[in-house]
Amino acid sequence: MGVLRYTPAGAPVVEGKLSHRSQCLEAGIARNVECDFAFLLIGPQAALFAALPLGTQLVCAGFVARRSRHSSAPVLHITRFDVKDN
Amino acid sequence: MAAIVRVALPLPLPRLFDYSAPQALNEHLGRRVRVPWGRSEALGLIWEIAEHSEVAPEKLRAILALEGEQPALPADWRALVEFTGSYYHAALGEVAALAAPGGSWPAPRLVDRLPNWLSITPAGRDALPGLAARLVTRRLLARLEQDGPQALRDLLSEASGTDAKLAELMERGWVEAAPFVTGERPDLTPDQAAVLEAVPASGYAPFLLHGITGSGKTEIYLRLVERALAAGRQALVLVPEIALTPQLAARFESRFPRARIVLQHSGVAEGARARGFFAALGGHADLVLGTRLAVFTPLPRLALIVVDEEHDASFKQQEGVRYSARDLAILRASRAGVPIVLGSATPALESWQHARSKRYRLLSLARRAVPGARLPEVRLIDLNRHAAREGLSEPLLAALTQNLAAGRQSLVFLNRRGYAPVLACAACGWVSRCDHCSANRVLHLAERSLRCHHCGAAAPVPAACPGCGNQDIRGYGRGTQRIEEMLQQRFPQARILRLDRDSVRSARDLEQSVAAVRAHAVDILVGTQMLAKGHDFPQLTLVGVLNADASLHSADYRAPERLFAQLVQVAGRAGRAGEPGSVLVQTQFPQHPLFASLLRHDYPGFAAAQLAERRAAGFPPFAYHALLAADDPQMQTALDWLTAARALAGTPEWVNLFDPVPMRMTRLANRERAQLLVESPARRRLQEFLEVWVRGLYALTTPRTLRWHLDVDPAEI
Repeated sequence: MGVLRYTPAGAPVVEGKLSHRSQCLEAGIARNVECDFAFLLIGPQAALFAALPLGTQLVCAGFVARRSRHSSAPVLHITRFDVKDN
Repeated sequence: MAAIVRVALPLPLPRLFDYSAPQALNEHLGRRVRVPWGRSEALGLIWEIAEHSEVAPEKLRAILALEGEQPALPADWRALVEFTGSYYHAALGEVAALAAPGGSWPAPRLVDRLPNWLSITPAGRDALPGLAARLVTRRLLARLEQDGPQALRDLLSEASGTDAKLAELMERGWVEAAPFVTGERPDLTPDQAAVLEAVPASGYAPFLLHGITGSGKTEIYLRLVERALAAGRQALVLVPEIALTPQLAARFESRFPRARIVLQHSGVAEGARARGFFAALGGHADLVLGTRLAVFTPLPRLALIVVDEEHDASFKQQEGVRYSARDLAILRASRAGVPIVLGSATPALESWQHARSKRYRLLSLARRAVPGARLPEVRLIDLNRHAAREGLSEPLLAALTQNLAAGRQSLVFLNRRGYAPVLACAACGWVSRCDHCSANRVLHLAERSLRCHHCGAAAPVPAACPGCGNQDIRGYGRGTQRIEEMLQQRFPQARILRLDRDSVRSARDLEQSVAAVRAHAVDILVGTQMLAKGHDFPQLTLVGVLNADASLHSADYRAPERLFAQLVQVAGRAGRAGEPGSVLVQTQFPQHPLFASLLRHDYPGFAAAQLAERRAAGFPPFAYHALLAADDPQMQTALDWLTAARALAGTPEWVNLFDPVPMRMTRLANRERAQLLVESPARRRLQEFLEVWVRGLYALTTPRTLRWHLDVDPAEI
């Protein structure tokens, strides 16, 4: 996870990498799913998010956009997250 | 019989205006006059007196009144104004309005005519015992007798503020101007002594003083001024805008404690400027120290002109009357028959060429004045080998670390203020273009604003990209604010001071900052050209130059000259006292010949190469330029007008007219700009052509929305 930074207008931003682990059904058969996602979070929650210890398990919602005009790599823009207590 | 006076009014029209006057005497020439203008009134100067007017008698109006009690502006002053008007093809009335003080002119005061310091005469000494003890005059004389020469302002407070008593003492011959003295003077180096010896006390003689940074040029100026003042004459010292600091004025004041020194620059209030102007005109001021407009100060007892940093662009006015104060100063010196010294570490190539062709005599100061002080070692950092992170390469960071550890001061030079030169959106490609200019608005993070450095328009930083709504927009490239931030992160314990036009708003700000640097309350300075000139920071030993490459490949033929001058100036800040200094220049083009000259501190070599290029390309100083510029909301209108102007010229002999083209900075403040370059191998031929052509331009059909101006000897094309 990157350090908290700010947009020129002053909104906090945090970006980094999320690791996803789950089991999903694929054509009727359960399988393990693992993947990594670049993520970005802008707004008041960013400070809270940046303070989470690495390894915290989260449920995130948001949308995917490409990184820039020059890169089609997807970035998950988190608009909502919940810390999973276990 | 009523006479006709022809009045110069402050209007952009190339003519005088006729009025009738009850009487017009030659002594009225150069007097200020109030005249009717349309339904209101205007102030002008009586320029000519005539018996007849072309204006029909029933349309001829009468002047309202002679204005004020100040003396008439003298013939040599009017001649200088006329020359300026004719050489730069500007309206006489506009030049006169620029050259004379504006606003209401203060009435002459007795105190302005009194010497700055007074002493008692033998006659005063004889008269003293006979005066009644209660008399103010006796108190004044007694003080002068007991304590020796006194400053006028101290005597005034003794006389409870009234100047009449002192004027009376002067009139009776009981007091006189105190003898000229100088403050403490450093010993001259042999080089300095030789330079001084070369400059004669009188007679027109132009000199180019090429002195490396820290070689003691200012001391030469002080000694030359001293010579003029000691002989009871006046001196004029012109300096660039940026260099006229309170420190410089204080240096002259402490050297000449009894002299009346007048400051003339745009920061002086109108009333004070007028007082100084008339003090000079009356011969009561000894030294006029000022920026370009000071070249018009009348000086009846002039004995010397000095132009410091003569290469500086600020000597050329860039709007209104586009005159060059340096060139007018040369003319003034030749007309007044006095020596003139143009000083610089990097003379303008025009001046250098004059020195090579023996029109000016070259004087050199090739060593630093402080014993043991040497020019700094200049090294290049090849950015192709040492990638810069956030604008700063590892070798430069290492040098900064080392200098910081040694307790010495460093300067990081970057000629770009703001945080980042552009704000852009990576998602959709939006950039912060100025609505009014063909330029980007600069991100100023401290103020959270986007500002156009060309037209001044400013807006808050948008919360999200105006094109697509993305909030994660960013500043690209680096300005001084960003470098300051980066250095502060890298060196958290260092005291960092940023000096640019955003952090320094006034002369007082600059004074405080400079004082802080000199008091070593600062470890690292980050700044623009504001701190490149003139300042003497004895503890500064390291200079890092960040974006020298920006103007290496500019289309402007003067760009290398300006870059070299700037690098020499900024490098010259290092190691001025005994400690050796070093300069690190980051560049992607270490093989560029400009750097080879810079590393060797070889201005003559650089100038020779540049002059060879200019000769081959037929550029100034081997050709003479005039630039006709037009601007309009529509580019086509501007181009069409210039095309008509070009057609008007026909195909003159000796003069070459280029095609009208859009300017490099095409759009400025909602105006589309185009230009037409006129070139000639001979100054006189160009002038002959312009005289006829400009008259035609005034008669040309001109759309109401279009504005045009002519720039003779333009600084940029």
